[in-house]
Amino acid sequence: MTQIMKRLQYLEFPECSIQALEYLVLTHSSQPGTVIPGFGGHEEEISIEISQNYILFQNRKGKLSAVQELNLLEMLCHSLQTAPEGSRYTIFKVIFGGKPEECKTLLLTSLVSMALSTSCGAVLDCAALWMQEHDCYSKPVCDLSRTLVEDYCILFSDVNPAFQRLPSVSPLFTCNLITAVTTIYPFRDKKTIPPASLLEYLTEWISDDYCLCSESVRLVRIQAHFSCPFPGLVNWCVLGPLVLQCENSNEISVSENTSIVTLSKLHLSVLQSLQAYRSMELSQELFLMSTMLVVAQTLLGHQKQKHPTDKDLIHSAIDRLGQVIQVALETGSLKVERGRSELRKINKLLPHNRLLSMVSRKYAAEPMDVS
Amino acid sequence: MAAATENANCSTFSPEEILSEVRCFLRATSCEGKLGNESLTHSALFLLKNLPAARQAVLEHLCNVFDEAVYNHILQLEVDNSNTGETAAGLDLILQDGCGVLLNFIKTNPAGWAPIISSWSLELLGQLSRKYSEQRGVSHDTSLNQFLQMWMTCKPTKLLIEVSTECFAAMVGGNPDICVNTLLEVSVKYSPHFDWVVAHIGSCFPTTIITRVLMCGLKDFRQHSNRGADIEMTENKTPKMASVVGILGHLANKHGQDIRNALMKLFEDSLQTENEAPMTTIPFLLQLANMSPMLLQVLATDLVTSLTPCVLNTLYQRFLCWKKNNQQEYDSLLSLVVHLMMKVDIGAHQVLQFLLDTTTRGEVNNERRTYTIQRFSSEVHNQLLFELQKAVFTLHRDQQNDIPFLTALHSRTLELTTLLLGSQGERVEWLLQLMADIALYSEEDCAPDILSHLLVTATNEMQLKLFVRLQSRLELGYPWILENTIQRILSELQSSPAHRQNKILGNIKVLLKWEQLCTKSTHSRSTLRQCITSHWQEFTPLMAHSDLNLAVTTMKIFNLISIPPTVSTDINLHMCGSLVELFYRILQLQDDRKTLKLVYICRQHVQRLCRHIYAQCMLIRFLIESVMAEENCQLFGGKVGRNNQKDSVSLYESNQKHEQSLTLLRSHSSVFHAGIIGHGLKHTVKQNILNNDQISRNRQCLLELLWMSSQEQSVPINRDSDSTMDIDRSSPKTRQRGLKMSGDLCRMVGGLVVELTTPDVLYNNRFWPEEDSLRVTVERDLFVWKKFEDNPVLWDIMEMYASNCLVMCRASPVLKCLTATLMNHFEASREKSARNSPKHAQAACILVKCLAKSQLLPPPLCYVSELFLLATPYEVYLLLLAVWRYMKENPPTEDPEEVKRRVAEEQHVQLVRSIMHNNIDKMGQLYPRFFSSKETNMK
Repeated sequence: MTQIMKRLQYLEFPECSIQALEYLVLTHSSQPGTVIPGFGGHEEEISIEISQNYILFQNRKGKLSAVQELNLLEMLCHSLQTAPEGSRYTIFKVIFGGKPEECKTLLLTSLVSMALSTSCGAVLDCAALWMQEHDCYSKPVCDLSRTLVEDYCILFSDVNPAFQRLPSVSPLFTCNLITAVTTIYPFRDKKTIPPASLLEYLTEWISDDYCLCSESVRLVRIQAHFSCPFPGLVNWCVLGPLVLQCENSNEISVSENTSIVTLSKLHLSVLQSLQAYRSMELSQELFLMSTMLVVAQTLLGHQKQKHPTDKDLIHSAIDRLGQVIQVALETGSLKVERGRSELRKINKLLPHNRLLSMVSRKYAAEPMDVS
Repeated sequence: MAAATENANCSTFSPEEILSEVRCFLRATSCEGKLGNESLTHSALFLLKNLPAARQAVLEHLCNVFDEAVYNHILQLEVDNSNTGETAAGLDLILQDGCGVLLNFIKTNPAGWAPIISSWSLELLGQLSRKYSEQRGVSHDTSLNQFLQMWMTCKPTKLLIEVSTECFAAMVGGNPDICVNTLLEVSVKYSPHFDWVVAHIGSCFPTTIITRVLMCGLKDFRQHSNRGADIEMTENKTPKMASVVGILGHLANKHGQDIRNALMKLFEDSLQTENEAPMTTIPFLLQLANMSPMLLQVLATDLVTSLTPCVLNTLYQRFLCWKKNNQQEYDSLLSLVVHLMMKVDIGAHQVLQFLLDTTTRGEVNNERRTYTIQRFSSEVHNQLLFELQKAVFTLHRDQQNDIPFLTALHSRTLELTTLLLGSQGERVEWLLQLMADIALYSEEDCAPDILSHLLVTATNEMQLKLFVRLQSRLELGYPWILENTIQRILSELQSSPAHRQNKILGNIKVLLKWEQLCTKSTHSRSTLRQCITSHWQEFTPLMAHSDLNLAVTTMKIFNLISIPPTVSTDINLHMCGSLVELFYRILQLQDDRKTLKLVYICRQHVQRLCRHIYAQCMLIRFLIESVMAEENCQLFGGKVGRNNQKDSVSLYESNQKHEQSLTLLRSHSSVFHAGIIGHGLKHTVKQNILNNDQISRNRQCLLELLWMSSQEQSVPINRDSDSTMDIDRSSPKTRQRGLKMSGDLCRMVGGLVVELTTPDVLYNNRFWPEEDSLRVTVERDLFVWKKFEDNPVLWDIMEMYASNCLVMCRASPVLKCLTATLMNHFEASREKSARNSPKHAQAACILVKCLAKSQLLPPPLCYVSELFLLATPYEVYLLLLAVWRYMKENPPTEDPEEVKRRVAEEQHVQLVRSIMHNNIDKMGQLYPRFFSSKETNMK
C-alpha cells in the first residue's frame, strides 16, 4: 500500500477528499515526459483507487450527506480550475472516466450543474469532452442534460445569466448540450416539446455564434467520431411549428406563438450556422439524407392528422426542409452522392413544393447528366 | 418572508458571489450547533435560489433545522421551561422564511417545484414523525386524532404539512399521480407514524386522494403481478397495497361514500376497457378487500349487487383466455375469493344470495347467466362450504379463529331456514351444509333455533327430512341438540295459535313415525322419540285442546312414544280426563270411517294408559260418568233436557199454588209425571237427533273402549317401547278369554253404577229385602229406572260387566231397584202379553241375563228371561218374584266360590215350573232346558 493510501485511510471526509484531490492534481500535473513509461500504469491504478475511495466514496458504507457533497463539488471545481490546463481532462478522466456508473454520473451531474452556475469553464470543458466520448445520444449524457434543463430551464422561469452565457464559458459543452437536448426533446409530438425557455436559450446561443454548432466537429481531428446538433435542430425547425399547432389546433396560446416565432429565428440561425460551417472548412458530413427522409416522413404523418386549412403550415415546413437540404448540400454538410434516392423519395413523398422540386431536380438528376 | 420577497431579481449574481456564498454556507454548516444562525439561513436560501446543484444540500440543511425545531418543541413540552423559547422563536423565523421561499417556488412554478418539495416535505415529515414518536415513546394505541393533535400544535411540523398540502394543491390539477405515488412510498416507509400526515392530506383532497391512491395501487399491483405469478405472494411484494389500505382506512370515516364510489368506478372502468384490465383490477380489488375489512364490506355490498348476469357474462368472456394461460393464478384467485367470502361481515347475506342466484338459471333483463358461470359459481360455493366446514371444525382447536361470514349469517338464521325450506336441488345441500356450519360455529342456542324453526315451519316430508339430516349433522357438535330443540319447540307450542300447533305436532308425529319404521337403520342420531318421551308430560294439555285434530295428533304422538310406567296421579287424572273428553268428541263426528279410525287410536292410547289399576279406575269412572253427562248422553240414544224444566220450577212454589186453587190428591203423578199443572203439557223431549246407526256405532265404540280399559293388564309393563302394533294383535286374544278384571276395578265399577243411578245411599246394600217393602221404595226404584231409561247405554254397560259377579254384587242395589220397578210394572199391567210392553220386557230380559251371567242366579232360574216374551205380564211378575225371592234368600256375594256352589231350591223353582205347566203349549219346548237335568237328578 502506498503512503498516500495509508494516510488517507485515517482521515475523515473533508480532509481525505482534499488530500486525495491534491494528490491527483499533483500526480497528473507533471509533464508527460517526466514519467517513465511502464511505471505510469501503477500510478494510474492508485489514482483510480483513490478517486473511487475518497472522491466517489464507492466503498464507503454511508453516503455523503448533501451538504458534504456540496463541499466536495466545490473542492472538485476548485481543483480542476486550478489544475494546469493540460492535465485537467486527465484528472477528470481518472475520476469520472471508465464505465458510466450511477454514482459517477450523479456526482458529475451535480458537478456540471455547479460549474454552470459558477461559470467554471474548466469543469465544463472536461464535461464536454466526456460527453463527446460517450456520444451525445447516450443515456448518461442525456440524463445529465435533462437534469441541467430541469435545474435551469424548468425550475426557474427567470432568465439565468449563468446559463445564458454558457457559450462564452465553454462553447464545446454548449454544443454538446444542444445535441443532447435535441435528443431528449426531439419535438416529434406533443410529449417531446422542449421547454420554452430552453428553446429561447438555444436560439439565442446559436444566433449569437454561428460557429457554436460546429464546435464538436472541430474536435474531429482529435476524436474520430463526433455528434453535432444539426440533425436535431432541423427536426425542431421543421416539425416544431407543426407540433405546437397540431395538438391544439383551435387556438394558439401566447407562449406557443412566441415559440413559433423563436423557431423561425432558430431556423435562420441554423441556416447561417451551416454557412459558417463551410467557412470553417472542416468538410465533414454533418447529415445523412436518410435523416432528412425521416423528418419528411414525420412531417407527412403530421400532415395526415392536420386540418386541410393548415396547408400553409405544412408548406412552410416543407419549405424549411427544402431550405435546409439546399443549404446543407451547398455547404457540403450533406453529401448528395450517398443520398440521391432518398432525396427523390423525399420529393415524391411530400406534397409538391417548388423549392424542394428544384433542389431535387438539381441534385438528384446531376449524375445522370454527367453520365 | 423577507427572503422570499427578494426573489424577484434573484438571479443577477456573478459566479464569484455564488461561489463565496457556497463557501460561506459550507463553513457555517461545518461548525456544529449554529443552525439558527441567520447568515447561514440567508446563504442557504440564496443558494436554493441561485445554485441548483446546492438544492439537495440546502434542503438537507432545512431538514436539520426542522429537526432541531421539533426537538425544541418537544423538549419544551416535556420540561416546560421557557429557556429554549428564544432560540425556538429564532428557529421559527428561519423556518418561516424557508417555507416562504418554498411556497413561493410552488406558486411561481408548480409543475417544476411541487414534486421536489412535496417529496422532500413528506420524507421529512416521515422522518420527524418516526423519530420523535419513537423517542417520546408514543404508544401504539394512541389514536390517530391524538397524533394529529400533537403534530399540528407543533409549529415546525405544521409549517411542513402546510407546505406539503400546498404542493398537493398545486399538483392535484395537473399531475396527481406523482404526488400520490410519493405519498404512498413514504407512507410505506414510515407507517404507522406517518399516518397522521396521510389522514390530514387525505382529508384535504378526499376525492383525488382516494381515486389516485387507488390508481397508484393498481398500477403498482399490475407491475408486481406481471412479474410474479402468484397472487397470494403479492401482499409481500407490493408494500404499497398496505399503505393504500391504510390511507383508505383513514378516510373511511368521513368519506366512506367517496371510497365506495371510487372502488365501484374502478371496477366499472375495468369492464369498459377492452384490454386485459379486469384481469388485474379484480385481483387488485380482492387483494384490497383482503387487507381491509372496510373495503371488503364495500365490495360485498356494492360490487356484488352490480354483478348482474350481463356483467358476469362480460367478465367471463374476459377471463376465459386468461384462465387458460394462468391456471395457477386462477386457482389462487379462487381461493382468495373464497377466503374473502369467509371474511365478509355485513354483506354476507347478499353474497350468499348472489351465489345462490348465480347458480340457478336466472334471467335478469333478458341476460342469461351462461351455464359455465353457473358451474363456476357452484364451484365457488362448494369450495366455500368446504373451507367453512374446515374452519368450523378447527375452530375450537385454534380458539382465536373468527369467521365473520358465519357470524353475520348467524343473525339471519331464520331467513336462511325459510330459504332452505323453499329451495330445491343443489341449493338444499348447500344451505343445509351452511346451516350446519353456522350452527356449529355459533353459540349453542343457534342450533336449536334452526332446528326448531325447521320443525315448526316444515310443511311437507321433504322439508322434514331436512330436519333429520341437519340434526344428525349438528349432533357432531352438540350432543344435546335435540333436547334443547324440543324445549324450544315446547315453548313455541305454548305460545302459538292452534293451526300452528297443529302443524308442529303433525311434524313431530311424522318424525316419530319415521323413527318407528326405521329402528334398525344404521343412521346414527338420537331419536326424537327418546327426547319427547322425557318431555311427554308437557304435551298432555294439548290432548284437551279444543281443536280436535290437534288433540288427536297429540294422542297419536303419545301412542308413538313410550309413556313411563309410573306416572304421577295428577298427570294421570289429566290424561284420563282428556282422553275421555276427546273420545266423546270423536263420537260426535258423523263420518263413520273417521270416527272408527280415531276411536282405534283412542283404544291404542287406552292400552298404553291403563297400566295401573288406578289409571283404569279413573278412566272407567270418567267414561261412565261422562256417558250420563248431558252433552254426551245423546250420543248413545239418551234423553236430554229433563233437568232443564226442573231448574226453572220451584216445587215448593207450585205446590203452594195448588193449595190455593184446588185441593187435589197429592200424588206423584199430579206433580211429577203428568207435568206441572199450569205449565201445560210436558215438553216433548227432543230425542234421537242422531240416527240409530250412529248410536249403535257409538255404543259399540264405548263398550269396546270400556272393555279395553277394564281388561286386567296381564302383559309386563316394560314392553312399552317395542311396538305399539302388538296391541292390536293381542287384543283379540284377550277378548277370546273374556273380560278379566281385577277385583278393585270390579268393585269400583259396581259402586260407580250404583252411585250414578241411585238418588241416595239409603238401601244401597247388597241384600234384597222382603217383597212387601217394595212398596216403600217405589219412588227410588222409579228414579233408577228413569236413569236407565234415559241412558239406554247403561243397559249395555251392565250387560258387558254382567259376567263378573263382583261387579254385579256391587251393583246389586241397582239390580234390585230395576227388578222392583219391573215387578211393579208387570203386576199392574193389564196387557195380554208381556210382549206388549217391549221396553220392560227387554229390560227384564237383560236384568235376568245379568244376574245369570254373573252366576248370582243359578239354573234354572237363570233361564227365566227366555220365558218373558211368552208369558203374560202377571206371569212375568211371578217369575220376577221368584227371582226376587231367590235373591232375597241368597244375597249377592263377592266370593265367586260361594256363588258357584249355589243351586236353586225347589221352593224357588216351584213357581216357574207351575207357570211352565200352565203355558205348556207355548213353553213346552223349553221345559227340558229348565228341568230335565233336575228331574234326572231327582230321580
